[in-house]
Amino acid sequence: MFCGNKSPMLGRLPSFDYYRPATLDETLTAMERLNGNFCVLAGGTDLLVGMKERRGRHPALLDIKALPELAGIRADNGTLCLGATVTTRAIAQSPLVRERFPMLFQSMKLLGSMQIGNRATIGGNLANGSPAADGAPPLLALGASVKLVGKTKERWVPLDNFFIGPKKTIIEGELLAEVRIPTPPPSGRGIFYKLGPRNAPEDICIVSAAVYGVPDGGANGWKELRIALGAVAPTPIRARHAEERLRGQPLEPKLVEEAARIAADRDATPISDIRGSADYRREMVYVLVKRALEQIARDYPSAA
Amino acid sequence: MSRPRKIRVTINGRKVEAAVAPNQTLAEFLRCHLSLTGTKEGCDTGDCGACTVLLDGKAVNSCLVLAVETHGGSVTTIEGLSSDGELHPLQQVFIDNGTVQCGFCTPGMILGAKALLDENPNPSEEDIRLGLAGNLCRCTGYVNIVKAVGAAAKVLRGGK
Ligand SMILES: Cc1cc2nc3c(=O)[nH]c(=O)nc-3n(C[C@H](O)[C@H](O)[C@H](O)COP(=O)(O)OP(=O)(O)OC[C@H]3O[C@@H](n4cnc5c(N)ncnc54)[C@H](O)[C@@H]3O)c2cc1C
Ligand code: FES
Ligand code: FES
Repeated sequence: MFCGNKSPMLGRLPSFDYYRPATLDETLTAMERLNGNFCVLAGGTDLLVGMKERRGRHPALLDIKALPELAGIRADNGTLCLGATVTTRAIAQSPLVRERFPMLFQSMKLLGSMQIGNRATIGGNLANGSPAADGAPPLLALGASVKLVGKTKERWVPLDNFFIGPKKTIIEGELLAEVRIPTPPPSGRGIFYKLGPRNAPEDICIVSAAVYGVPDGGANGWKELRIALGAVAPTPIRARHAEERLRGQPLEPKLVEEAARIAADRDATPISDIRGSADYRREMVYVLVKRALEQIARDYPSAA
Repeated sequence: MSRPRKIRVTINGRKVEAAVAPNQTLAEFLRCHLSLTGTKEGCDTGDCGACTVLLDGKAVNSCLVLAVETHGGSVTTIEGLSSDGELHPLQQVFIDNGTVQCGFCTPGMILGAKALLDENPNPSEEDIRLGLAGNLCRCTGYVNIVKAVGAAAKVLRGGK
């Protein structure tokens, strides 16, 4: 029988033990017992590909998909609570997310194909620590926090402090249990743009940008304006210099252009890789940030 | 290491019990253990969709699912679509519309289309193209495939 003529580069997964605990408590106990010799398995869409490509080898996988504590989308007094194992497609299909957090909806809709989105989890998207993670820019711009749970303590960390380097996060032998997004004011407006290699979901982005603004109600400016970028630095980042330039001022065309330039030249520190050159990425940061700021300004002519 | 695990899973309506190594993917399990070779493996990394099956009604890439993860679940493969020797309407319209060239993408394409139509019985062309973005056809037969899925939607809605 023909069972698949595997390419020598990929081949089978290396062997590992598999555990599927039923509760959070069981999981934390297992994590302690395995003493670092394990890897958490959520949707597996990053992890299993990495293991097939021999980028990672783990003696044991701890499947967290059965934990009720990590499941489900809830609204808690307007705060959006996403369990870590909620799939990106479930987020894209949530009417609550679509209505109240359109920028997040947009990014989840564009994360991978239907097949990937049915497995990929929001926790895995963030914990994987990829600078190109589609969930990161909108969640950074929306001021999200993540809950990290260990055997003896748990902590809330603003997403701003979560990413440390490529594939590195602040997680230390902990589980990412939940993502929380504070209630956006009704006037808040977010835009997410993803530039991919083809005009379809399924692909990791070349550059992505999320801009979130809350007008101050007067004629002059914005109470808050956050810009976050993907795939142009060792981690997903906030474009702090560009944000600083815009603080307290109306979004006039010249200023928008200047801020977009600052985001491209000072905030972004891209590398060249298979998806695009550093120069191209910078130029696209300029284009996407400018376009997003212009869009926001158009939506709120009184604030622009 | 890597003790085999007992799993119980319903495959195409039939209850299956097996001991599987944790590192065996669902695609390998279907093809090698159950001889259900209608499920194809193209890339093995989630990119091509040839290995698409329905897991608890949802389309997934079986090359990125471990067989052990399906314990207690239900899997539909291309072999499970026809009933009593009669083709599923999607299979029939795929034949009628000349969608099959080499055929390697076809099983995954049909299951992707089934998942799409189960969720959205009346998709626009745009919906179909987006929904099947994770199913690549290296013979580039997309035009006929998109047409076929539209036609199948009509048949499944009862000709309306
Ligand atoms: C074909 C393909 C297309 C893709 N397209 C996109 C795309 O367009 N955009 C995009 O952003 N990504 C894309 N991805 C990447 C991937 O699908 C996402 O990053 C996904 O969200 C990862 O989630 P997961 O549940 O599959 O993570 P897993 O693979 O299960 O885990 C990833 C990492 O995070 C850790 N981890 C997972 N959950 C937790 C937790 N709760 N606590 C602690 N650690 C945890 C794991 O140990 C592992 O190291 C794509 C992948 C493939 C294969
Ligand atoms: S073989 Fe699974 S997606 Fe290509
Ligand atoms: S018919 Fe050949 S890959 Fe689609």
